[in-house]
Amino acid sequence: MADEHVVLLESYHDKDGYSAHWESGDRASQAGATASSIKFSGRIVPYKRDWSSSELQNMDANVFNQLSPREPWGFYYFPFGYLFRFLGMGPINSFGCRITRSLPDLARRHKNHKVVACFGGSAAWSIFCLHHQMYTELLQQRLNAYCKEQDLELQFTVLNFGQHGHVVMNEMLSYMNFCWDLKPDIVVAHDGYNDAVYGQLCDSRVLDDWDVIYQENLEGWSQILHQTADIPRTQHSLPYRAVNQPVRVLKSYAKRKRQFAQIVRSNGGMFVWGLQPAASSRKKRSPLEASLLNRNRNPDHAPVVVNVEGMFRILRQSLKLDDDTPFVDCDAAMSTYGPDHLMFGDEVHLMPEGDVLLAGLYADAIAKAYIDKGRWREVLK
Amino acid sequence: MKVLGLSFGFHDSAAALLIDGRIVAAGQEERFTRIKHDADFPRRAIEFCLRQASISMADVDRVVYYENALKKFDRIVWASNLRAQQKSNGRLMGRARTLWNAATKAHDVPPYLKSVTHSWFKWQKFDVVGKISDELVVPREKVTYVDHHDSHLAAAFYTSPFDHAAIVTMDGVGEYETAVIAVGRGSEIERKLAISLPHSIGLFYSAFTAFLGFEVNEGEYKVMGMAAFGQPKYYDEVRKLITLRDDGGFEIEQSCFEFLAPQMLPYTEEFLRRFGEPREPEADFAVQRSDLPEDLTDEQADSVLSSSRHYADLAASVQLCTEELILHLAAKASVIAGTRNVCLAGGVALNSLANGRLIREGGYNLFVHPAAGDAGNAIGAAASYYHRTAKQPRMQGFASPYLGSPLDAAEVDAAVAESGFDAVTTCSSDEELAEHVAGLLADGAVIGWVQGQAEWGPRALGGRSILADATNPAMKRIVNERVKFRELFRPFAPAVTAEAASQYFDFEPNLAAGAPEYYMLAVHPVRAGKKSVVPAITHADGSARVQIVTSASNPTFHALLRAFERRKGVPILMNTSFNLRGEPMVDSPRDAIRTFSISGIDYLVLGRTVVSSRIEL
Repeated sequence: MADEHVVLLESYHDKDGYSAHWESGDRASQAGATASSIKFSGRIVPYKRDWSSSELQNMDANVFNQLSPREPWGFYYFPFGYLFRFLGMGPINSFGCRITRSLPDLARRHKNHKVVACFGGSAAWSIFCLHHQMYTELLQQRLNAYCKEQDLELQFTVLNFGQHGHVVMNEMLSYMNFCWDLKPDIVVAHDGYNDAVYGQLCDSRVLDDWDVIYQENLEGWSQILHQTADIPRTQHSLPYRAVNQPVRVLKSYAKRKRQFAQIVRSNGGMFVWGLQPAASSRKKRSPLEASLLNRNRNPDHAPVVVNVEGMFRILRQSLKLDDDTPFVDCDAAMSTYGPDHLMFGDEVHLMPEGDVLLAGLYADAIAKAYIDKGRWREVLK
Repeated sequence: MKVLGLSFGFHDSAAALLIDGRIVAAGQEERFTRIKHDADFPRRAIEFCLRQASISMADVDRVVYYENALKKFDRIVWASNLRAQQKSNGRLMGRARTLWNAATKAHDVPPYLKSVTHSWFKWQKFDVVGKISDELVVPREKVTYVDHHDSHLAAAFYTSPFDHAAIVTMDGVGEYETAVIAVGRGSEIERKLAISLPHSIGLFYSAFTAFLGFEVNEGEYKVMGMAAFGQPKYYDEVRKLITLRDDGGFEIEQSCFEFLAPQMLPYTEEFLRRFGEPREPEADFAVQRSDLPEDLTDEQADSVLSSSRHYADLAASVQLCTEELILHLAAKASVIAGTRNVCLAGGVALNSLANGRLIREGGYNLFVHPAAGDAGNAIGAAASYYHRTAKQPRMQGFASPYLGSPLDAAEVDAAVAESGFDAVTTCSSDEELAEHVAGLLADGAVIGWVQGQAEWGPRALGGRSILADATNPAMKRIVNERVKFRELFRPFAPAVTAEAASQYFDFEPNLAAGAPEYYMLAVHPVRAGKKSVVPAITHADGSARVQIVTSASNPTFHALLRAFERRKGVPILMNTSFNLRGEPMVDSPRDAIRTFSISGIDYLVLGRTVVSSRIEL
């Protein structure tokens, strides 16, 4: 076990100003300047400390931030899908996204400066990774390196719009809110898991009639807002139970994602349809990975999580996309890696090595569909 | 008289309702909760039974639990104590001391006893009668219990078609007993011999199951499947562990096993010294290169092939020895009872290879309770009370294994409507359905088949089945790999019309009610000239676990087999349980659609409704 811990420690070795300290009983270490620690669960969590000036600035950036609890970790209300704040993992912007660039500045970029906007849930946010380990950071490095190799006068900036719990509906709202003026040249929708899981849990009438998938916990917010705790939620007891059939959920997911693709295209961008990986695709895991999965498994989720593998299989078999929409099946790619690799920290969130894989897959897809085909010359701005 | 039998608390919870000597309903909790081997109080199974009979708990005269919990705990204390004595090299800890420790100084209590005691308090096992009374809101006086093997004996005999029979029960362990020989006559069961812990054929088989990398109480049938790939090269080594006694009993050499107080593994260092390293769970298993992933190097492949042969040989040896022991028990029981009628129950009775030999070599008229394991004790407990305590006249034997949830047309319509599948057709008659589905099967489709009431017991018998073309050599791999996502070595069973069975399989079908082949509980050789005709259901050793179907036992399924015969010339279909690996069998139409959705099944048949898996996203 001790050897396995060393792997983790090395995985989070301080590189770009972010320190990560191993905290384990008699080997507990003190908080570093940037104040994060790795728990036995493999998660990085912030220590309690005073807020930095930039963090305080973010907390006061708008009224919803001001109205939210001043906590280092938590969801908070926003009119268009809730937001999530997670400090101690590296910089976030005032909406909780791991973005360090000014979006208005980027909107005025040079025609050879391309922006890739990546969307998804907490796995896209890369919760097991520090900032420099995120797939979006690595993707940016790879794309720029590729352009340099090809002697192209192109520069890529990759932005991570991932937010905890987000489903495609949330991604669309995030795009409309934050990306419409930015006009990303490429949009990567790295998702699937949240829609697959939440889609099984939510009110069938909302799903069947309107193809709306939402986080089931939002029903709880409604109960609080309207003081209607006496009215049972769709998931009124644990463990969770699937109230919607897998194919029905997939149809709504695919329909909404096509809608997202249309929005992106109408705004001049290329849409990359990503299918995020789930741990069920890993048939041969390293002992540490198996241990982490076991430790972080939530038995209350099991009745619906168990269906995800099959749902992803149906998706890859039945999804028909046009030639202009690259399909990046990260789940299938993950299944080819053996027990020498530490990919997952839990059912769906990737360890740094997993994010390296994602960056490679998306870089290859973008290079092939966008750079090599010369689509980058089609400047619509 | 209405008697509700219950089995719960350890594994395979179930409920069964006996009304005036007729089994009205029986269901296993896992089918309703969707938790494999669910051991929890069988609330939903009870609700189902009451609903089937259109009665409430107030109408039930007696609730009977399937074992004596306190006697079982007494055994656990005894066994833990004995084990502690053995480990302390003679430093004796009397039972009273152990009990005192349990109440006062937990740190002195043997670890096994400590963990079991904790679990028993947590799950209220010390007062099962109270728990049942609380859960069902019935007076304590309405609740009673019978001994574990008395439940098995009753399940084996009273549901059989025999008025006079030898009865053999075999499992891991009940209270103290692990096997019993008895004689049944009319409403009477007379015990003749009991084997007690630590000598247990069930635990013996389970120890090898664990050693071979499978889950105990789940993977025993995988050992049977693996045995077909090997030769009994370790027969002498394994056989040395068993002593067959002249009185019909047996003893198991204990140096290799940890049966008394198993903490982690049921075998010892001595076991490992004799049989080598245990097989890693989920390790690759193959006896030919073509069954292995192509990316393996030759060296890696050789290593897998070599270790697979070793473990298959061990499985074959264990299986052979187990068969001999079962044949020994049955032979003695038959002599004692003075009849060739033999009834079996207990988990070991699901050893279908042994059952086949009892029929073919022993010449016995065999009856095996379809849910031979502890789930079947829900019926057994009710039947035991009904006859032995309430002194009621002999109950009816099994008329049908289809005692579970019925297929409700309105539920089918609702489930299909919410399924997300669009390509749905409905046949206007059973004949049209049989012809349509036979055509799909003949074209290579894999079918999820849900008809009528669900089966009682672990075998799918055409109520909740996955069906495929038995003549297609690729079908075994397709269904293992793409449909059920399970180990490639696992065999598939055939369903065959009773009238054609002897043409394809080397046994004379007994068409009398209760024959094990109705319940897919006996393995027989595929006839030499037919192995290539039905390769998908012919196992590596040329055998098959046969289900015979008549127009009386299951008319819709029989019609399908006949329709398939008209297309392919063979009245045989591959028939496997409708579930994915690690799941209980589907029960409701919604369960079936969910499993169908995420499996590789091509069509789902719910009554006369046929759903295609084709979708476009």
